[in-house]
Amino acid sequence: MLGFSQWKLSMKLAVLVAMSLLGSVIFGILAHGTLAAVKVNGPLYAEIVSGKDLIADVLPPPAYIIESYLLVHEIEEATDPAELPGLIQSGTRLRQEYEARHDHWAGALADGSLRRALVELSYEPAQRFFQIRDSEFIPAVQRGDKVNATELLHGSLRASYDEHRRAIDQVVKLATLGNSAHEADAAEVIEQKTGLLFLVAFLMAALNISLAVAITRNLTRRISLGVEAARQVAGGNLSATIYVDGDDETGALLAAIKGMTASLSSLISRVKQSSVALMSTATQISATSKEQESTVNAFSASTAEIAAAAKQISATSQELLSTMTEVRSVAATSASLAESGTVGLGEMDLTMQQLSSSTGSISAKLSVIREKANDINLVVTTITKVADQTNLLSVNAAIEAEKAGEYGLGFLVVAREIRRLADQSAVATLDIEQMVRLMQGAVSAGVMEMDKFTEEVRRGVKSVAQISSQLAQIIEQVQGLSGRIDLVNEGMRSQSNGASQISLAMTQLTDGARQTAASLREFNSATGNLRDAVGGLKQEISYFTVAP
Amino acid sequence: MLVVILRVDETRYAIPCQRIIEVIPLVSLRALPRAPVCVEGSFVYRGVLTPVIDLCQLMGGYACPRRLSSRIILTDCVLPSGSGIQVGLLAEHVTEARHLRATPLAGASLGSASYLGDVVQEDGTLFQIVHAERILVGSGNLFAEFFSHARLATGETDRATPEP
Repeated sequence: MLGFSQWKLSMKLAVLVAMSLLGSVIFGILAHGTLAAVKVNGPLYAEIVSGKDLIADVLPPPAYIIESYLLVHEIEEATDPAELPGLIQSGTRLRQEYEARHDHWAGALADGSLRRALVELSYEPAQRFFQIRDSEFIPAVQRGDKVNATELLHGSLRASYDEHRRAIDQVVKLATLGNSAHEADAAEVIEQKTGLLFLVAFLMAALNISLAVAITRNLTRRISLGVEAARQVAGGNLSATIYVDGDDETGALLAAIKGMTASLSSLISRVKQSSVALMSTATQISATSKEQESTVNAFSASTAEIAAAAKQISATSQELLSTMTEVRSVAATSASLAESGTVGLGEMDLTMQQLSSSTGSISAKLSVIREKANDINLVVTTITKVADQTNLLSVNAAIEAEKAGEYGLGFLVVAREIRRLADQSAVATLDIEQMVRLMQGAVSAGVMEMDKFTEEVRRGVKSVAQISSQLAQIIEQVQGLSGRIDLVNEGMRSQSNGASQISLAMTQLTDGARQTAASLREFNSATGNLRDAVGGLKQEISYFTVAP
Repeated sequence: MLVVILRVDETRYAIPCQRIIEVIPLVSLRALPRAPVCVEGSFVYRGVLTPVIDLCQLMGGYACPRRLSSRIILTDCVLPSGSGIQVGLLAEHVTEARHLRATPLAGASLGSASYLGDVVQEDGTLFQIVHAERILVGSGNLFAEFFSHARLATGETDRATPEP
């Protein structure tokens, strides 16, 4: 079958049509042969009819009462009475068979002369015959009345039978005539159908051929369209339009080719765009990597500078370390100085407190003096009052003495003396009062001064306490400073170490930057290769023509 | 002539002792309503309601300072109607009773008021005599009218219960 797949589709279809025509011809010949074999008056028909004729010729016909007629004769001629029941039974069976056949034909035959002859004309005398036989003849025979039986046999029974026989003859004649007519009809039908058969065969052949031609043409046209489209795609033309008509397999094939072309076209378009973008990206990458190279070079220089700076830091921190040690010794000295200052301040505080208590006692004494002065004042006031009263008394005494006239002259002198005493005591009290007032003023001023002094002393004590606490704080801080300076020393040491490590790391970084620059150079060349590759891809893609 | 010396604004005056009842210290006084400025108030002296006149206010125009030497001189005065009344005169430096010669200085005695009398020189000091009994009398006296009303009251309260 290898050759078959290389045949053209039209050739294959032609072979298919030819084979089907050949089959039809063979089928027609065989059908015609079969028809001829089984047709009416044909060989098979003749054999079947002769078989039927043989049976009809041999068997007594049940629809014909000749056997019953013969049985009647047998009964009449029977000599042995023992045979009678069997014969009568046979007669009854024959009648039943006749009735059955009659019923069959009455239903089977169509209305017409044949049915009338068989069902009506032959049936009536047969019924009469069976009536006479069963109601008259058989009882006579059983009675032994031979004479009457014979008379019935040759009389009414014979007449009924004859009449029946005539009707049957007519039936036979009619049936024979009907058969001939049927045979002629059948021959005619066969002749007509044979002609029709040939006509149908011819028409079918013509239709087959024309259909095959149309299908072939359709198929080949579409396939050639598909082939053309595929060729154009293969040639790189993706812009060709493909006309799709019909939904059958070839139509689906064309649609698939169209879809494929469209997909391919869009894919190629995207690939083109992508290649353009890729090209620009490659250019950008190239530029960027060049920039990076310069950046890395700058980075390398910077790291070198940082390394130098870290070395300087290390040196500086070493110097700081020695400075801090000096600071520590200075702090210790200042702490001891502050401690001695604290001791001095403590003594000063004690002195100040003693001073404060002394001023307190002086103030108390001054208060006592003031009280005493007040007492003196009181006394002076009393003396003044006495002097005043005395003076008043002397005035009034003088007045009274004047009123008494000459009798009062001596009293007047007394009154004058009293007034003089009173005046002297008044003057004395005035002096005392003045002195006491001066003393009181001095004491008040002294108390005020003492108060001020006490206040100042109190302030001094407070200041000394403050200075003392500040000094204590200073000492504490200076003592704390020592520990901190240790910490700073430690930090400086670690910083120096760190700076050395940083310097080392920076040197390594510089090396790394140099290596990175070399790598970037390689990357640059790789980017150039990429750009070349993208250019090649673009050229390859330009082979395809894409619809705009 | 025995006189009681007093001062008004450093000027010395003398009241003759004939009219003086007694010199007493300055006591607390009851104010008199609607009285002239120089009437200081009143107090009860031995059951008699006695008005007090401030001589410093009357003659010097200033209130008498409250000192031990400021005293009340009780005198018998004459009302404008002619009846007698007991009056206290408040003055400064009432500390001395002395004898003065009765001969006054020649020349015009100064002073517009009727109660001012002659001026007497004693030991180089000038004293003007004050006639206390005439203080309530005389035209142009500020409190003459006040005392002219008070006269009836004084007469009727003779037997009345004196003020505390």
